Amino acid sequence: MGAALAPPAREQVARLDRVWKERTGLLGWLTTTDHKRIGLMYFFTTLAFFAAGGTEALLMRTQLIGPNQKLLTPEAYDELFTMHGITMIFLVVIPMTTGAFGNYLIPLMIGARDMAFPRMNAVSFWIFLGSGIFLYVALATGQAPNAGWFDYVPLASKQYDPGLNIDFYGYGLIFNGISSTAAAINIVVTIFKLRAPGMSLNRMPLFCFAFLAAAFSLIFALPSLTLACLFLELDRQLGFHFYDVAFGGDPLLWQNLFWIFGHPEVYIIILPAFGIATSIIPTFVHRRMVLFPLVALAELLVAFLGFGVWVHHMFAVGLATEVTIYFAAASMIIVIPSAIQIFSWITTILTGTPEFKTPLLWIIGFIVFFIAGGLSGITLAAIPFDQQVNASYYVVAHFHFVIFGGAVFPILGGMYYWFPKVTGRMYHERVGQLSFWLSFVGTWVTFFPMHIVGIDGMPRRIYTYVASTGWGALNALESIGAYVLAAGLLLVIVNLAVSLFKGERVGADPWEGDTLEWSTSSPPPPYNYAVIPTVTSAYPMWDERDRRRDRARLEGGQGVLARGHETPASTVQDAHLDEVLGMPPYSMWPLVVGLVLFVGFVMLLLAHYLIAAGVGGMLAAALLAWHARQPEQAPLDPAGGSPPALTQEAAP
Amino acid sequence: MSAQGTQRSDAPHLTRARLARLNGLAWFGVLGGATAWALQFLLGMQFGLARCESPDARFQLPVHAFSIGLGAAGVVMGVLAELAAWRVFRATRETRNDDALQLPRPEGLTGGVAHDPPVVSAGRLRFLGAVGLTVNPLTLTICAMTAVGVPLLSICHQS
Amino acid sequence: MSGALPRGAATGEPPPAAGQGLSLQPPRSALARSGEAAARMAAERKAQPSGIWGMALFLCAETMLFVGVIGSYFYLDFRVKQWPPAGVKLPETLDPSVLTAVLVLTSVPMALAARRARAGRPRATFGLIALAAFVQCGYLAFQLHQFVAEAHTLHPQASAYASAYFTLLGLHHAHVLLGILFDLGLLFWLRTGLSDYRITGVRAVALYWHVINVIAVAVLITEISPSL
Repeated sequence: MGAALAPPAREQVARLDRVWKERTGLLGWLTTTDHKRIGLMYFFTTLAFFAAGGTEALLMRTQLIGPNQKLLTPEAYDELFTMHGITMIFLVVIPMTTGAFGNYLIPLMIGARDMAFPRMNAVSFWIFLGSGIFLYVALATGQAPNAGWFDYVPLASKQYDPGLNIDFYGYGLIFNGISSTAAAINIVVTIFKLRAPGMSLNRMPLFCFAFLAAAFSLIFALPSLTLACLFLELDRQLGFHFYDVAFGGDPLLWQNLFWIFGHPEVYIIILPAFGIATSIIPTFVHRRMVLFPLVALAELLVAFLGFGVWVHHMFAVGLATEVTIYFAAASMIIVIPSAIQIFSWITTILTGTPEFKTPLLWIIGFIVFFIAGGLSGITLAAIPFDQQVNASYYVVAHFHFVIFGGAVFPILGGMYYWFPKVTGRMYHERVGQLSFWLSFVGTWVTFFPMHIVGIDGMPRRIYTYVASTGWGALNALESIGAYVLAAGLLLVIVNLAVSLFKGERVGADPWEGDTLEWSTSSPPPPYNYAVIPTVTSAYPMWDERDRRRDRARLEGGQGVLARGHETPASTVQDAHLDEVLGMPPYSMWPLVVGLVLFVGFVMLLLAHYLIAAGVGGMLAAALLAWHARQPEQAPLDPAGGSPPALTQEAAP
Repeated sequence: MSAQGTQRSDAPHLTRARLARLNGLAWFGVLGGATAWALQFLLGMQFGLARCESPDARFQLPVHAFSIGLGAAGVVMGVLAELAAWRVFRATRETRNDDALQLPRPEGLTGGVAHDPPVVSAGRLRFLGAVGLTVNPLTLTICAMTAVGVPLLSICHQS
Repeated sequence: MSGALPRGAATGEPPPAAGQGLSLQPPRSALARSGEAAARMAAERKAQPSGIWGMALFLCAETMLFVGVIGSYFYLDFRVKQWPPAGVKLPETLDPSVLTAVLVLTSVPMALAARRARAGRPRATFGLIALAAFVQCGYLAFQLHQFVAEAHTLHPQASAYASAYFTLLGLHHAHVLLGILFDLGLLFWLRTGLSDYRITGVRAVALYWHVINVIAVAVLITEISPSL
């Protein structure tokens, strides 16, 4: 981009390169605050956890391949299904979507140079990594949580589960929740404040609407989980009585608190996937999204209504219908916003000119699975039916269709879609398509028969079954499907890994995408955009006049913001340029805070409360030091000198 | 699409003052029905819990009557919000959804000195109007479903 | 909304001259290092700064935490025949109310501190925050003394009521402690004067206290609800 620029502009871009130069080496990564680097760290860490969770699944499927298998003891099986659920939800899907995709792409899509709080972004990652290590130390030492990912009391109480297993769960999820809350706050403020001038709310990419909805849900839902775990640990460690009936407590309190978090959590899982789907479809069918405002609404409404349906996880508990009816009604209506989106996606695809490249295939697969999973979901909203299939494999089938087919498929599609942007290379298309088909078939073969065995009576979480149940054949089929699925997923990784080194090089916009990230180089420079873009529609890359105007401004040396680490901030609703923010560069404090918190939680786990309090003091000191450096104290251009006439408008 | 660069797209009847009023109406259209549902849900569920899940019928509340009342209130609010959204949608019929404010002219927002308060964007209003039109039928349906359903139940029967 | 590929289809805007339409002298927060410059910067800004949004969202989460603990208190209350259980003294109403009133009043110096900060007056800001922090420390000291004394007579391990009661109060006191730490942090950094960043910090902490004080009233009502 710099080659054809006039000297003043070239000098500005050179200043940008100098000011935003990345620190190299390990220290650079440990102290980074750059959203792209943090996104990549999240990405690789979640892939590692995905491998762990997948291995847990394959072990379980192997155990269940036939009746009376002896691969795993019941205790080991309990730990596996618990860790599988915890891993996939808290250590894979949420960090992959909010941490990897959200961090990397949101600033790029809105025309900003970083997230609103770059240091807090870094600390979110280190805390996430710490919480993942914390939980896996449990597995490594043979005391993993073992009461299921929703950990019902009284099974999880000290009386029935006296070891450290549940304490790893309780403290681990509080620890993990800090990371997600911080990330969610960052996402909301970034989307509200840092959008490019002209990108009013109604011109924001649908990806941002989806992430906004997920982030708001995280902020409002996580405290309920934190509280549930706090009460659990108070009961277990200090002998409190929130959950035991003998002293006036109530085990249902755990269920209510957990599911007040747990239901919004599943929408938090799926919403970013909706966002990825709505990014990929317009690009590959060369058509604007049908009913754009309604798709945006649907994303927000699903999150909102999602706070009013939690008792549908408790329909078999024995509550009066005067209570459950509110939740049954909302659970049925919440299907409609999702249906609006599905209708819009399908219509957009059918009325566009689709190119069936790998990313679009993953999205079509997602739509198929989401419809199927949604249908089984509606049946579960009917209380009488739910009571028949509660805690059976029918439920397992439903949520794997919507979580695996619904959330993971778009993640995989998104990996392919943005691979060229992040790496500057193209993946192998044929291998990509093969990886899709293997995964698609594998997912159907693994999870569809679960509907049948579930209705046939097979409960979930059993470590084996006898031959006379007749479940053997379908279970064997499911296990084979799991291996096929695993092969497909491995092929995805292999394709991307090999293409990273051998893939054909591409430029800024290999797909003719619609959103702003396709206007900058692949991979983007550290400062994302040399000139701050302005936006006049919801499909900025398809407005060539705007992009030519950007270039004209760059050539005229306006809107480059090269004085320091700068990015513009706009008003929330209509995105009027409001001020220029300074961004903090490298900082070691996020890493320090992450380490201190990790030590603190370990001390809590081991019941060394005084030491934990001391660690709290260290945390306070670290946070004080963190704020010593104000973000505007980013080093200004080391070459010094006054900036060229940035502030004069070119003669009209 | 008109080529005129006026501040209000192609709708000269949308004066600055009218747009500001429509803004309030638009947000009511989006949030009114949803808020009503949220309140109906919170209160109704609490009444149900108090009446039916407390031992020895500690709280003798006319739960069924409350449900009808809350549900009706939710439906009424939903209808009002729908009407507000319709009004906004009609008023912005000549505007596109993704219109925003035209980028300000030089004599408008400059140099960081005190500037005119921003005019509300007609395109954003149309967007909010469409959103409101869709949200309210859904939330009022939930309210109606519970208002109709609860009275049919025998009191505090376990489901 | 046509279905054709909208190449070059911009909206109905006239093509402006290069550079027109983008405000090119937006205020730069980086330049606001002194009190007066920061005050000017704060006045020019139209939208709330990021730090205020961040604190507001953090407060949404903390509010939900208290909604949860208060909700849990009343849930457990509804689920039993007698609350508090037989033999437990009903809570005092006067002392807690007076103490809460004292805490709520510290919102006044905090609000004033935020205004002085926006006006670019570091010493006044410092003094007002110090006053608020002093009173808040006194409040917390009293409360902790009460807390420990009560825990000796009514053991948290005795019943769900006691567990809920002490957890409710404990969470509240923890948030007051956090606020005091915020105050001390501000006092530490304000020694070297005001900048735009520090002004936002003062305003954010003031916001924190306002919300915590509202929550304090809710906690009070919950705490004394059996006596009402």
